[in-house]
Amino acid sequence: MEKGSVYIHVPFCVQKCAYCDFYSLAGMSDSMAGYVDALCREIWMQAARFGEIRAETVYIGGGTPSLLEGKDISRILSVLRECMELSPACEITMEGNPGTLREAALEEYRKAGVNRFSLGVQSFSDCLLRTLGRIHTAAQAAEAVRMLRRAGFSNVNLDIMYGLPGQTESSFLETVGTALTMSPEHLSCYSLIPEEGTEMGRRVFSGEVQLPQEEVLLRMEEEMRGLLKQNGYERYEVSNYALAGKECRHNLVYWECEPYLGLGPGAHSDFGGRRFSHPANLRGWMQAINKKELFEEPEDDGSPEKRRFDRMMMGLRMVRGVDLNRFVRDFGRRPEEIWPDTVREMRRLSMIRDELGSTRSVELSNLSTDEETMPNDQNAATSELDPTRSDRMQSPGPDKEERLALTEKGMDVMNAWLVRMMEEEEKG
Amino acid sequence: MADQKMDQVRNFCIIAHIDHGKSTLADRLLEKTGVYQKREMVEQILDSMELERERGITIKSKAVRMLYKAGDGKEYVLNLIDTPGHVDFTYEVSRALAACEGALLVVDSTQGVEAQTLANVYMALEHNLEILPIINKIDLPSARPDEVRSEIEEVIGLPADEAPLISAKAGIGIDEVLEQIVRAVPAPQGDPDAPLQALIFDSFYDNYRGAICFVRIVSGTVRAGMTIRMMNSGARFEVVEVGARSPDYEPLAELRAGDVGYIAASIKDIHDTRVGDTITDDANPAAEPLPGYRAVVPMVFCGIYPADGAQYENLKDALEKLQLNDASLTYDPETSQALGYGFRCGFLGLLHMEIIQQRLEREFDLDLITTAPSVIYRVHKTDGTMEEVDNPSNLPGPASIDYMEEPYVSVSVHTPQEYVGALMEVCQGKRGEFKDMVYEGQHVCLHYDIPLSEIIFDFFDQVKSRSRGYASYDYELTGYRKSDLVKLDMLLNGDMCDALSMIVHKDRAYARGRSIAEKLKDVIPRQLFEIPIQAAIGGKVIARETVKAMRKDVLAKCYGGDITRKRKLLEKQKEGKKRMRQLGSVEVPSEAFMTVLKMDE
Repeated sequence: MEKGSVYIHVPFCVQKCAYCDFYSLAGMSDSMAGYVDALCREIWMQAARFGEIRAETVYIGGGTPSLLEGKDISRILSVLRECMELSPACEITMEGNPGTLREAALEEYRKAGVNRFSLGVQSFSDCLLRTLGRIHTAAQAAEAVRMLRRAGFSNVNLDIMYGLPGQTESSFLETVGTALTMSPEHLSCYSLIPEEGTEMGRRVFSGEVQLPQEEVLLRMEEEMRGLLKQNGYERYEVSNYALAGKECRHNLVYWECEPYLGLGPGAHSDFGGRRFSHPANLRGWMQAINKKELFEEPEDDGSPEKRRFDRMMMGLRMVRGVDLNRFVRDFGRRPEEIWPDTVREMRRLSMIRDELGSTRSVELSNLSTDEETMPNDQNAATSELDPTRSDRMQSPGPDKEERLALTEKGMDVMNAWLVRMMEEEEKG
Repeated sequence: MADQKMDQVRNFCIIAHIDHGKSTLADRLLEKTGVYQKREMVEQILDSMELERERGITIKSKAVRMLYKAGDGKEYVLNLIDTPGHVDFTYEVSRALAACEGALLVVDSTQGVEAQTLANVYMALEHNLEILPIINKIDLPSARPDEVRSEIEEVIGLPADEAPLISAKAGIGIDEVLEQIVRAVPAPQGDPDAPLQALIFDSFYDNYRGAICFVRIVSGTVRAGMTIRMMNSGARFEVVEVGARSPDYEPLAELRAGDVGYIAASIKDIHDTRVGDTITDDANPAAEPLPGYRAVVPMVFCGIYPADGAQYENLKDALEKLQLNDASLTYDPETSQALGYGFRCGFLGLLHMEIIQQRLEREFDLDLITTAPSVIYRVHKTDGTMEEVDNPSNLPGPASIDYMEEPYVSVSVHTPQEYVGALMEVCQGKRGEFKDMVYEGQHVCLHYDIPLSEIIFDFFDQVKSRSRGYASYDYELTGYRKSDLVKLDMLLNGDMCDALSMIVHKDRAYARGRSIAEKLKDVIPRQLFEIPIQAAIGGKVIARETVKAMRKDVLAKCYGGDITRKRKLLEKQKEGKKRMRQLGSVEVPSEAFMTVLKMDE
């Protein structure tokens, strides 16, 4: 039996947002029925291929999954249940655009088993929503949250963006404040990254619009974090905040580099020990699936060097950092043995958190281990990267979780560290 | 050929402003006289080096012999001597001109007389050449031949009523040019039976035959089998072959007074074939060498390092190969703390330096880091000894220095009158000492004594920009003068970076230190910690800038499991850092070392 999460990509949108570089198609609603048929077929095919799959989380992302009818979601999830084992506590998330929600459909989604809803609000400023090319207004977004609540969703995420062209600090904080009044269980607050090939990228790179200065961005983040913390939202990843126990388990699968199976065109998988993806091509995918052919290409050679780097690249995004016991188990050595210079430098610049070993501020009922059994946290922390005391670090108790995590400052410049690690490894 | 009468020989060169069509005209002349068949022609045969063609300049001079049956029914030998076209090669140009009796002055009929036209005319006049104006590009719609004709007469002061109107590109008027060469360029003079005097105006290295000299026979005769002597260097060789290029090497029985051709004598080292030296018959030597010999010595030095240390041997091989053909290039191994192993290279001037750098990069596929150019300073020490220093890192400690001297050059700036004021400012700003100003018709020649170190910075750019390209200059080393010099060091994150040190005049030290610190601040990317950049003289910090620590570098969203893409983005970022040098704890992009060059104080 393969354990893993399932991601389903729904590549349909009413309109392409200016910043979006995910695979999605506007004006293709005619293809939705065919898509759902093919998707169900693919679930069958993949299940046959991998044998029994036990899924802890399912994520229906996009695109705009809320364009699908209740019956579509219901059908997809029932096929999933037929072909795979969804654990009783399975987190089933669905994404939606506030401009597309219908109360009746929401209720059907929930009845079908969706137990977490992620709403793409982005901003509560109508002006910025227009800049982003969103199809909804701030009022619609607020109404969407109320609709979700009425439909019985008790685990809701709101996506919020900052660092937008023309966005001021106060306008962003107003959006955060408005979001807080809606008491979502989870908030994703991410800064705009202009991507090549998007309308926003074109505007930014051509100088047509300007993004807020770094100092402004840093102030936005600082204020936002303060506000969220006061309201009980704990940061657990670079741009994710949640009330206790409401962390998104599906995304944690990515960050922990646990296996996941991606379905639908443009979806990525790390499953059965390999990384592969479906080309971002709806037609091609549908034709292949209907011919009972797999439509995928390998993503990399899956070498241990790449794997262990991925583990750091993804793991360091989390506040709790990388699980060192598992790292050593999988790769034979500790990060400071693989990248001694980089890790030493991170430490010198105080970019590694000092209370290592006790950093499990994120406590997920199903993922955390028993913290109370660890004596003298402080001591364990300071010895973490000190080779002279490595005897202590190398023999952590079997039930003792040991993690390598970045400080807040370190997380802000994570890419620079990762590039340093790549360079160090290249130099040998 | 041996029977060719001297009065049927014409030796000439072509001078022109850049892009006025010098090379195209040369091509047409070669084509018309049958040296090349039209279909074999690669455009601009004389500029055979790729770099020359690209920059539209001639770096090395060459000579080609053409046979032309003129209107008078006689067959003439026309020797076209191509000349290099930049101030760094002034001396080579002067030797090439000394080998001619006439010069074709090509003027673009759409542009008229321009700065370089004038500088070239002045040089040709100094060598008493007969100048034949030629008005080119008359096929273009914007051609204004009549205006340009009067411009030549008024501005340059040359009669131009007979100037042929041609289009080198379209092949119009080429016959007339050839006829004029025969008619107007004086035949050479000289006694073929007198002791041999042959002027070397160019030389180059052939893998099979050794260094080959291009010569103008001023008197006497040279043939294979003779033992020749280089009058200035004293070296002796036995002549293996004499001949002329047409365009291939064609052996001739002899070269006589008035002829232009080559001498091959199994010369192993190109340094024995110095441009300007006189070749004589060892058995019957001339009483004295031809006037005007000057040993060409490098005046500008810089460190050249492989960007990738593993390429050191390749760089060494490449320099060796280039030096075979370039007697004015020198190189010695040197070590820099910042840059590792490399070479101290000597050049005639900045253009020469740039050309060598580009050839190294292109022809040998090397990635280079170049340090700021320096001149040779003379350091007189308190113990009475003197040291020559061409690398700031080798400057002795201040306590042991009594005083220092720096090289000065005498600069002649030729300019139309309207730019005199601006150019005087430029010269003064370069610590220039005004000598005199000579009016030459519409034009003025300014003479200044200027420290060479100031010329090699951005004098060329400033002269060109302040005169809208009309002024030109040449310079000659005049000697050393005592000067108040200091070593300016740059510190990155507290560590001295030897590759960025320079020797500057005390009065300039602050401004330059400030400016380099500012420039470095702009080119050094923000890193994970704050980097102070300091300019210091001795132990004293005179300027400081700070590269703030990088505070945000994170891919914010990471959903959908597309991990490969994230990794690729990081890999791209890593590749972007490849051109960075690690100096102590600081990563410095390669171009930082060149930015100290580009001053705009």
